[in-house]
Amino acid sequence: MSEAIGIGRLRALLDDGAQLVEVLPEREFEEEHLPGAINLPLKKLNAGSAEALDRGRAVVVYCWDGL
Amino acid sequence: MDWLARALPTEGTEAGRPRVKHALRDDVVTCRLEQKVGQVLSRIEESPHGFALAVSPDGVLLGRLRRSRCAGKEAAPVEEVMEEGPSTVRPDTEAARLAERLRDRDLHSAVVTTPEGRVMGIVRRSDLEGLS
Repeated sequence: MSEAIGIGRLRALLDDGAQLVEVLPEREFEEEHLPGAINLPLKKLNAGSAEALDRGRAVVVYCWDGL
Repeated sequence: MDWLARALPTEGTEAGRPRVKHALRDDVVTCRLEQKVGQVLSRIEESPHGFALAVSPDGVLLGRLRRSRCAGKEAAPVEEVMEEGPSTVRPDTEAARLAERLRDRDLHSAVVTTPEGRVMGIVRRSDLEGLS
């Protein structure tokens, strides 16, 4: 289940250990990203991509518009 | 843009590029709509910026009161003399880009607010140019 969240909810989730995922291309991720975020570029997402994530913790996905 | 616009930290090779937040000055005079111009004028005259920002009780920008518009209006409320809704920029704006825009418009400063319009301070074109 996914939902759009604002900055306040984001901070609360991060405080609770949520995983932060940026889906922009690698070059853009390298230039700038949120602290602690991992990079899963949208165009490369596949069934194996989720293996890097902990299913027991919330996942917050963001892109440029959500940054 | 909410994270960047609040000047929250980021990581990466470009995270350190000069932005408005790096030249932010918080010494601007603020006032309320209902105050008399005369109550604010002395602070404006002592300020290096030549104006005061009218804000709501929770700090949202409502207008700008310029010293040049105060003469003879000391008894009037700020609300009647100020300019409403001045243009604003966010702290994550690139310094060089804003400096260029200010030069093109022959402006010397810009008001910086959060996405919700809360005043963070001002930036001077000369300070932005010094960052580049």
